[in-house]
Parts: sequence; structure tokens; C-alpha cells
Amino acid sequence: MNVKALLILSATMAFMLGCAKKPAQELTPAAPVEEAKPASVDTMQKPPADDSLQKEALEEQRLENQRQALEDLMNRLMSEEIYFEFDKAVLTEKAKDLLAQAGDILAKEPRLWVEVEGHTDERGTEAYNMALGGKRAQSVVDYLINYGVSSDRLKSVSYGEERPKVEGASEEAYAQNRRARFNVKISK
Amino acid sequence: MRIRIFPGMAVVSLSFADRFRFGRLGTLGFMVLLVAFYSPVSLRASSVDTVYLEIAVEGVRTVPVGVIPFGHDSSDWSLLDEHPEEILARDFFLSGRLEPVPQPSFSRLAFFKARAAYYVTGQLSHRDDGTIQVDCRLKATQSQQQIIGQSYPISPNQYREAIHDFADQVLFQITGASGVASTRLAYVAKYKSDKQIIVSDYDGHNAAQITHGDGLHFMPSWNQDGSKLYYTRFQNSSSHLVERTVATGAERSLFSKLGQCFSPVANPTGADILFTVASAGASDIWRGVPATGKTERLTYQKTSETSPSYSPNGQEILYSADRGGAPQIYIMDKDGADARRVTFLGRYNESAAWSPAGDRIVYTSMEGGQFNIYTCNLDGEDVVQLTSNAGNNEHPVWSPDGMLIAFSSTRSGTSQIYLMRKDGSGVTRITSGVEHTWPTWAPFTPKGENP
Repeated sequence: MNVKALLILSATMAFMLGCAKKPAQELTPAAPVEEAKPASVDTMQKPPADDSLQKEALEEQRLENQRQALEDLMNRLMSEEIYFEFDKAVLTEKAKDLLAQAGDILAKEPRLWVEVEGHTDERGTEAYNMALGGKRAQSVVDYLINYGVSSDRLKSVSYGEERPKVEGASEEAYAQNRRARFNVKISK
Repeated sequence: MRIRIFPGMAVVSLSFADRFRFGRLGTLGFMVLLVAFYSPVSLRASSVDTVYLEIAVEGVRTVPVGVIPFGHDSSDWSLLDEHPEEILARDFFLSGRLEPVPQPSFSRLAFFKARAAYYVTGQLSHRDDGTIQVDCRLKATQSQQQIIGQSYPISPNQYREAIHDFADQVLFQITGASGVASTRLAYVAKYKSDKQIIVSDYDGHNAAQITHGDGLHFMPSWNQDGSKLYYTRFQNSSSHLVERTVATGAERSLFSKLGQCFSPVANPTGADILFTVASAGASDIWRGVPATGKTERLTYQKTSETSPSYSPNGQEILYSADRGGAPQIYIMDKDGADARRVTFLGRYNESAAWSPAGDRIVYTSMEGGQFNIYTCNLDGEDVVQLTSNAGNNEHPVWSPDGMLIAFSSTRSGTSQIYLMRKDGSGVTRITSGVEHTWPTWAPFTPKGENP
């Protein structure tokens, strides 16, 4: 993720969130998802008197699809992971740059909140690695709070060594697995 | 140099410049050392009177017991997964107190040569109603008179249970000790990205998966009477504790307001459990009472406190803390006060368990990226390495009689569950197939509660 692409994407995001109440055809990223969800048979069979209710339900569905599409987009946007050294939860300079970018996105869009996942490599006991993953996630959360993100929009969760990105017992695999990642959510 | 020979234990005490323990050498190593120390050179070398060296040969004298094949009626017995004499021989071996002397048929000479004053045998018969009868006998080699005769009229699926029960009766008759042949284990099996909890006999047979569904079901632990299992369930990005009633399979979540909880372990003398809570980057030890939902935090450090376990009397707590950057074993009082460090050898020591007798702990230590299992005294002295050069060896737990240690090892290429005697001898693999980790040993079943 380079900074330029990120700025373009975050500008797109701001635009999309800003016009969330406008008709769906203006929001091209959300359109494919919407097409995949035709009105259900139940809704079609309702008597004409419920027409307004039906419209309301469709509108709700449209907004939900849109929310999900934006959530997916934000997760892609913030998909770059933060790597750590062995048995350490200290942020590297590179990690701090990345978190500053993430902090900028969060500052622009108050509807977003983030679950920060902490992961470890397979070395070490499961119990200790649960603790270590928690420390890594919290390092990220603390940095973002200092950057100005409100703490109630940040949640940390440790996966310990349970969800490696790369299988195997090599130094390369370990380095890929010692990470924190964002699980971005948009409030309904 | 003093040599003391006890009926059950041979102990050599001598002065030595350094403290040493020959845990894995066994009888042969002991004899070799004895010869070596009798030479004048060795005597001179040991003249520096600083610390003393103790060689305990397995701590317990093993009693040879003859084992001969069971007879059976002319019906088909090919469905038996193992012959009764094979099950008995393994039970005797794993007891750490008996030494099986298998013979194809009764041979007084062979049993005398092996010093087996007793032998076991028996008879299998099918009955008309579909049940079977397992007759087990313990006899004296000299007179061939019966010492114990036990008949089990049972359904075929209780076959192993009956043999294990007889093995424990033989052990009790000969040594007066309660055996673990009828106890059970729980452990974790890994299926792709999910983990599920398995319960089996202590020898790995009769394994049954008890948890289902997506996510991680792991870090199991039995309660004080074996009627409940506690474990950690990690689903939908949160991990919480679950209490499962073994007989009914009923489950409920515990202490859900506390955040991310893991590694529950029950008080062997009470109804509360210890566990770890990860919150705001720190992991701390908590205690909770499942019946009332009451919880209390026991540690307040900014460091990580993990892997709690109670002393056998429930008065103290063994745990790990990474105050120096990597985990070391500590002991604190049950109220969280008076924490003192136990392990000083090795950089990374974790997942400690207290022996049922209360005299030693077992733990896993990482050196050069490899885990091995060690025991030591409560003051961290007398460190004995039980595994070496055999993959990663983790999750050590004691059998309820303190004679065996169950652990997981990657020595076969995948992680599997093994048993070994407390001195590291007699390593026996009890699982295969998918990866298995984190064994936990059920307590003795109170007499009369097991049909």
C-alpha cells in the first residue's frame, strides 16, 4: 500500500460514505453486491397495501449491502500487516509509518471501528503466545490512541499462534506470522 | 562416599564439585557409575566436600510379574483390538511399579529366572445373550495358587475397561499402590483450522471427540472429581471459558464479561478455577467460581502472567511470568501474595504442573528453538532433563499417582501424545493421525462410581 493509492482510496471512501443516502446507481463499487440480492419471494407475495413497507425493506437491504461493500473496501485498504521481531511487541519504524496512515483513515471516517488482531509465530507455548499476541495488538491500539483515534473505536484480540498466515517451520514463515492485522468494521 | 541401599531405592551420596543427577541412566547407568566411583581416582575427584550427588534408580523398585496369554472358547475373538495379556503387560509397564515378564505359556523356570513371584492369566468366553465373560487371575508362581480371581460379565465394549480394572487390582495387591489404568485423558486434536477436544482411556484407546463446530476448542482441564471439563472456546474473534458436564455433554460459558480468557485449570481441593485474562496488553491470573460466577484478579503486573496451576493442597499457585522478557516459573500464595521465582536455568520456562505428592514440578523449557521437559524441586534445585533430541516436547502433566507424565512431542514428525515414567523412561506414544496436543489427566475415579 503506497501513500498515494491510500489517499485516493480514502478520498473515494469519504465520498462514498458521504453520499450513502443517495440512490444506489451512483455507487458503482456497491452495485455488484446489490444485484446478487434480488427481492425474496416472501416480499413479492405481500399484498399491495404493504408497498411502503416493502420499499423500506428494500432500502434497508440496499444500505446494508452498501455498508458491507464499504467494509470490504476498507479491509482491502487497511490489509497491510504490521510485523514484529521474535518475542517482541515493540513497533518498528516501518510499523509506525503504516499506523500513521491507518490513523489518518480512521480520523477521516468516524463510522469505522477496528478490531486489531495480534498473532505470533508457532515457537513458544500456546498460553504464552496468547499473551504475546495480546501485547502486540495492544501496541498497535496504544499507538493509534496516541495518534488521536478514540479508544472506543479500537478493540484488541489475541489469536496467539492459532492462525498462522504461512504454514511451516522456516524463518520466513515465522517472520510472516509475527504480525498484527486490522479487521475493519463499519457500524450498522 | 556413602552408599545407602533402601528396599525401594538405591541412593549413592558423595561429595562432588558440581551438582548432578542421572535421571535417565536407569539401573545400568547406576551400576556403571558405581564401578567408576569405586576406583581410587574417582574417590579423589570427589573429595571436594561442597554439594552432594544423588542417584536414585527410578525412585521405585519394580516388581516382575509374569504374563501369559489368556485362553478363550472356540468362538471368533478376532475383533479384539488387543489381546488381554497385551493390555495387562502395557498397564504393568506404565504403572512404573511392575515389570511385565511375558511368556507364551506358564514356565516356572522362566518366571523364577526373571524373579517373577506372581503371574497373570485368564479366560475369555462368549455367552448366549451376546455378552462376554472375562476371567482374570493373579497366581503365585511357586504354588500356582490363585491370589486374585475376578470375573467380569460384561458387554463387549467394556472389555478394555475390565482388563484395566484388573491391572489396577494386581498393582494394588502386589504394591499397595493405586494405579491409573482406569483413568482417562483429555487432549486436543487439530483439524485444519479447527481444534476439538478428545477424551480417551489413559492409553489412548476408546478416543471420542466431545466438541464440535467451527473454531478452536482447546486448553482442556478436568475438575477435581472428573465430572466436568473446562476448556477455552475461541469463536467469532473472542475466547472464553466453557464448563462441560462430562456425563450429559451440557455446556455453559463462564465469566463472559471478563474479555479474553484462556487456559482454565481446576482447584484439586475445591470448586474454583484459575485462568488467564488478556486485557489491555497484559495477561493476568484470575480465579473464578463457576457455580456463582464470582471472580477475582490475582496478579496486577504489566508483564504477562500465564499457565496457572494449583498445588495439590490448593494453597499455592504455580504460574509463569515474563518479568525478565521471557517466561519463568513462579509460585505465589493462593491469594496472589508472596510471589517467588522457581526456575533460574534456561531462558524460557513455561507450562508448569505440580506433582500430586507436592514435592516437584514438571515444565517445558525452550533452548535453541526446541522444547524439552524438565522436573525440579520447588526451590528450582535438582533439575532433571527428561527429554532430549526428540523434536518439541511440551504440555507436561502428571498422572494422578505421580508415576507418569503425559506430554506432547513432535518426535514422530507430527505432534502426538506420549506417556513416560517420571524419570523419563518408558516413553510410549498413545495417539496417531492428526496433530494432538495439550493432554490433561483426569483424577482417580472414586471407587464404586465406575460400573
